[in-house]
Amino acid sequence: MTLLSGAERWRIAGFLVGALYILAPTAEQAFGVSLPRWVRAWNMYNSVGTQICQAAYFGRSEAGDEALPGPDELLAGPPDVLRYGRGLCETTGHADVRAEARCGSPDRWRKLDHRRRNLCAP
Amino acid sequence: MRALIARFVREVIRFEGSSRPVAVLRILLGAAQWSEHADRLTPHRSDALNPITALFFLGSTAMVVGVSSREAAFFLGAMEMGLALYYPESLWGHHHTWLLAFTTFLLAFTPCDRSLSLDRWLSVRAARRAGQALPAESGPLWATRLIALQLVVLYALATVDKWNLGFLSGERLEMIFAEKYTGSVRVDLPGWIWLMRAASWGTVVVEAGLAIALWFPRLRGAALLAAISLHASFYLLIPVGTFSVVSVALWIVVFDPQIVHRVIDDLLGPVPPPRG
Repeated sequence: MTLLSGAERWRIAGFLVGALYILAPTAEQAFGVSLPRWVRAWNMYNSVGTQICQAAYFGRSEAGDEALPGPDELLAGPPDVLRYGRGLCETTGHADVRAEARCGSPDRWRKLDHRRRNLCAP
Repeated sequence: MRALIARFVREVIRFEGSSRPVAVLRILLGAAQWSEHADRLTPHRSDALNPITALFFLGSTAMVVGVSSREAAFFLGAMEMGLALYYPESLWGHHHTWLLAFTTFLLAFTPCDRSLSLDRWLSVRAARRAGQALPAESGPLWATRLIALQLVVLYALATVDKWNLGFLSGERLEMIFAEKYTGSVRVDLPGWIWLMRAASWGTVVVEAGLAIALWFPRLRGAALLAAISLHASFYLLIPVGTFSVVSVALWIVVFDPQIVHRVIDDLLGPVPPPRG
């Protein structure tokens, strides 16, 4: 290996700084080491879909459960699930509306326990 | 150890070659800059002209046209990285805008101005007038190794980020599809969750494969096709902004610059004779 020129020494310094900066998020994402905010992790688009809820609504009566129309709009969180269900109490005339619902999260679906709860109850 | 250092110096620090691949990347990233930021920075959308707007339009235009391209890439990339770090919750702070800013900054350390640029055209004209040899279309390419490393880390950490039960069960993808397509009514199609599960595993396997394949020159051709398919599906299915086009564009520096130069040569025919 021939001797390094001045420019080549600068390149080594630049490369090492750049490589360290590029590799730094690995410490956080692979090994859980917390890093300063000027190191950017590559957890892209993690928030997409975490707010959405899906729900099926039922009108309960002595004759059994009747499926009610589902929402056309997006239910963006548990309050929306309740709000839509309460709206069904008025629009369908049912006194007992229940929902089978789940909401998004950064991990798996979170189930909401609305099957056992009458959404029309005050 | 000595052999390893010698190889590092030879293949990274003294790595030189055609400037055409980085020139193509310069033009693509400059255009991606416009696509990502220009509309919201135009004077009729923003409250007032400010130094950020001015630097953005001057820098990105200089990159595309090829006027003082390296300086333009340096200041534009540095400004955007600063904005992303200082305002991480703003539009500057997205991951895909960070990738665009960082790779724009790295381009400043390549000879991206020596090909396919207005500066190149002017220097060729001057050389011809003076009867001198044309300026070389080559230079030190050590910074392209950093761009390649960034691609590897991007794919590897995207894999790590998805390596959890939420994603591998297909449920995270189901949530994304619910938000973007299927809405708040549960999909009753038979096998729907298995389709989501297969797509999730497919994404993880391809991303991990790309992180590995980038190290092996023989695998890079096939890996590029896989990367284009992956990024095209991202672009078509979820709102990823310029992430797909920037990621695919970066692949140009992964290949031997002399081969890329020859391919561009092959694409260019001789000047046709004048008609009539």
